[in-house]
Amino acid sequence: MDAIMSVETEYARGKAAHRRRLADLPYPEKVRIVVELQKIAAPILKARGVTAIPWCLTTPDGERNVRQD
Amino acid sequence: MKQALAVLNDMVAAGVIRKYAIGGAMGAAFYTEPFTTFDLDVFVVFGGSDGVIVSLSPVYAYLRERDYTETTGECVMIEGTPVQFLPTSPGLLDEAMQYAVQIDYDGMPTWVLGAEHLLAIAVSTGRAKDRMRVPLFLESGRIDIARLTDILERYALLERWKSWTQS
Repeated sequence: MDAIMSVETEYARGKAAHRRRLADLPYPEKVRIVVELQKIAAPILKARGVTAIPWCLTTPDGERNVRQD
Repeated sequence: MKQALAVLNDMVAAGVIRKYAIGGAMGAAFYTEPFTTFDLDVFVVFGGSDGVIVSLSPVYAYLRERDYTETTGECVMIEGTPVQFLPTSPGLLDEAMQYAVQIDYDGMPTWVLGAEHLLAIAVSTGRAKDRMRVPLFLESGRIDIARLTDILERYALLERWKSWTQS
């Protein structure tokens, strides 16, 4: 029983530490992750009839960044 | 997003708005682990407007003049990012703007609402998705509980906060 509790505690601690590491990432890196999450979520939402378009982050300097459907 | 922030900064420089700050999910994501959202909520303060009715028309007119005419839902597409403009109002939102934090986004100066004010706004708004952000904030270790409690008390949000966090 103690062994199970120990594994559970370690798992919870590891998960919390991982979340803290993610929270400490630089903001631009977080935004990049958000866009990756958008790319995963968009087709799922589309299947439900919800239009959700991932952001465009990369545009050469001087060019207008337009949506690419 | 950097280019969208540049447009927002240009709006401040042009005097269309006095100040702006990122709020909502992307504001929260500054403090927490990243999570899925599809729009950029931007709170805006207009200069010299003490009236009760605040119009976003100058913002939309400025954007239209620069060919940012595409909209999605309540957002305007600015350089590939859907931006929702939200005027502030006296009380919690105005106070939140006063304490907005200036940050650097990849070399671009911008402003984000403070963590405690973002949480208080989430409690005030009270939607399920706002409630889901609470554990993310608390686990981030970025919340000053005394400061948050003070804000929640002053805006009569403490009871709801307790019901959210003690169940």
